[in-house]
Amino acid sequence: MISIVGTLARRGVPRYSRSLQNVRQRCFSSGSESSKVGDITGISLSQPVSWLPIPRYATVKDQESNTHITRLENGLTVASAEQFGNFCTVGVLIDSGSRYEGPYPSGITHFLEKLSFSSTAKFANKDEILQRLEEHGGVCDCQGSRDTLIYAASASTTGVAEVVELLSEAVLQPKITLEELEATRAAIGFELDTLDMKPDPDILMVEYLHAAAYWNNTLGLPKVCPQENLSVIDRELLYTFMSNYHTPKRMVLAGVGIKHEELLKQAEKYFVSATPAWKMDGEQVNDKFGQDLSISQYTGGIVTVEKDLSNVTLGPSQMPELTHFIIGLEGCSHEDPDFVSYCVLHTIMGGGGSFSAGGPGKGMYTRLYTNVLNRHHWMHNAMAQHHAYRDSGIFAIQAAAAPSMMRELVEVIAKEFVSIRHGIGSTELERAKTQLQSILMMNLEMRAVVFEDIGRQVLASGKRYSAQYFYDKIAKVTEADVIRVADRMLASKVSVAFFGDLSYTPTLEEIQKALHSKDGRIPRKFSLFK
Amino acid sequence: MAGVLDPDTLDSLDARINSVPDFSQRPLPATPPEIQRPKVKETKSHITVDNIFLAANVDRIKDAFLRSSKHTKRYPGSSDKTPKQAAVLVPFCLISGEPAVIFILRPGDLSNHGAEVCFPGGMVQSSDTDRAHTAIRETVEEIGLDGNQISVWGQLPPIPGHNWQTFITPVVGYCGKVNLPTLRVNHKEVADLFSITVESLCNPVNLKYTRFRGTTTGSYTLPAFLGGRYRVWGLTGMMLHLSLLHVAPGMYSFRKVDFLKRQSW
Repeated sequence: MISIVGTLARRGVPRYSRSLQNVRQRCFSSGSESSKVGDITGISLSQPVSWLPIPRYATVKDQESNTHITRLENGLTVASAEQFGNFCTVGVLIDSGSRYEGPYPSGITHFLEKLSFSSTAKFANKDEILQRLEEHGGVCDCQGSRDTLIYAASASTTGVAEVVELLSEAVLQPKITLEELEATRAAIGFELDTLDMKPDPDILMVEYLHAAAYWNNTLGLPKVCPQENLSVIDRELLYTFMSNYHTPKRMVLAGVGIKHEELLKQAEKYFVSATPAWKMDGEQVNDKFGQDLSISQYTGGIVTVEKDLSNVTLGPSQMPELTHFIIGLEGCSHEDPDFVSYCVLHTIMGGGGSFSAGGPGKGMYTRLYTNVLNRHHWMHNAMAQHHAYRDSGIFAIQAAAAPSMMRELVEVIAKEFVSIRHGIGSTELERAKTQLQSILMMNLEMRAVVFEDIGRQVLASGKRYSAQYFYDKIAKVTEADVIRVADRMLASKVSVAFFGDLSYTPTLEEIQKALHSKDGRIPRKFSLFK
Repeated sequence: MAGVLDPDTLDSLDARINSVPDFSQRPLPATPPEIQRPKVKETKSHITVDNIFLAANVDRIKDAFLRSSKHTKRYPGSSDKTPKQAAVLVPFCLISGEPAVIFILRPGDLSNHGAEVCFPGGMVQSSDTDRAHTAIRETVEEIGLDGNQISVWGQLPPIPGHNWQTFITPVVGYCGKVNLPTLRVNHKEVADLFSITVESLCNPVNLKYTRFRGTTTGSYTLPAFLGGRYRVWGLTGMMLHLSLLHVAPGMYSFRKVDFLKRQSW
């Protein structure tokens, strides 16, 4: 199940936290290590070892540190929070991403993500960057999404200055050589091939859902680079895109495990006085493209993609042939007062694959298990999703079954949407709220998650609410709130995507009718003569 | 009748991730009709919420509609016999003493334009004398306004909707003092009835736009009006934009983008 911070955010992080958390753990200690080493075998276990430094432990106070936010004169926002430990995560979040690619060929964000931390004005290649980080036990990563681009690095606090310099180089001075472009084209091409072959279509389904929900605009534009644009995207385009969107006003430099003054000092040095590569003499920027500051427009609609999935398999044993289905309604933005209620609803629905129920903590008692997967043996999976952006969002359920079962599948899922309005049991609601609170708190124990949470909140609203704030908001969600958000989303147009064998799929109109019926059934034409 | 983007027309299209299909099977005209900038005479007196419905401005509004109907190129195909014709009323009115515009939200289970914010209106019937007649007749049917209370200021050229199968004529008129809760609404066609004040519609804070990318037709940009109970956008937003340019020039100015102009990519 996707965690809340996959929800309570999109401010969340999954991919990141994993890679950035893999930094080698060091023991936290004070004092020097110069004392002489003696024989340890003669010392009682109840005695401290005299030549080892006295350990320093985390206290509750350490966990409650405030987030400091400063706006620099060039518009860059610096945000940081101190955290116990001698490692820090620092990164730059940019209000950029595929939603802004409207006037450009799609795929620019995908390219930028792949080209990140390559050669810069100061570093000859990626290896040099990685070596420099290695000196401080660090790693770096870049992640592009529909509305945010994140460059981040984790390293020992001893290397803060170098990490910030390196980030500045990666964000503002990418060289984008011809060789790097070619390598990126090959890498993305390979990724597209993999997407085409792998049995799990989650990434594609989310793309189709967005394409249906935001028809030809902003959030509906493809995040994955289309094959035909591989050869179109070049340095001039990338520089043009960055010159329009990668401006200090649209950036947040966020840090966790670092003193605010220190981060401010480094930001002044490396981000205020720096001139970006695309502003250097002789660099070509195309004025024709400009900036697209559209608000996202939820339109609803249907995307159908016919593909033969009868032979898709992971191993020697045959997998059942599936048609994949995703159905979404307009949710809300993460700045919306109803955001937390949607998150609770997402946890109530839950779901997953029928072959990996996980434990109770993973949502075994969520509605998509108890009402759907446990009752309909022919369903392969069913999972709720909640995508929230700055100005809109989608609440969706993805499911799969044999192609011939598509009408039944649509009815089962539509019934779940409809039955939210009939009420939520108090046990069910309390369980979901507690689960959401625990997921929130567990995730925020990870430094990389805290980093991304600070960055995304500050980028979106200029403020950061604490974990306690969201914890309390979750506690206040009532049954009436959940029913209200369900009513709100059911008033919107439906967005649907089908992928696979489409022989038995119902029409968009039938699905819309099913959602507006009392029991989720597709209306049947009565006939006495069958 | 809102929604250039009608999903009914979408399901037959073959969508692939790398080429999201275009919503309209007919391309936008190569030369867009110049309807977005009616040649409005510079008014010496400022239009404000206080004088917008006074006789002087109403005369100017009627004049502006007359003049722009002479100057405006029509969309190709709009005068064909084949496409269906419809008309809507852009209903300006006074609500609690404030100039406002009335909108309706269509029920979600309607197969055409369900769950969309629209103006009252509908298809032209053979018994209708003209477009204004259609618009007023439908307004009376849908939201229960008194037809005698509505005075027509003018109309805009027909706008293509519903995959170029229908052409919609926006009729702009004034409905006098209106109290929304007392209206007898036809709930089969109207899920919710709401109004937005002209002041809010002219407030730059509430004026946004969305750029839509077309794969074969070039891109186009549509206005969006926030600040109401529901967002006004799509065809309704476009009609509102054009109406406001005639009714409240100067007070309403949305010069951010050239709507419906073809753009590169």
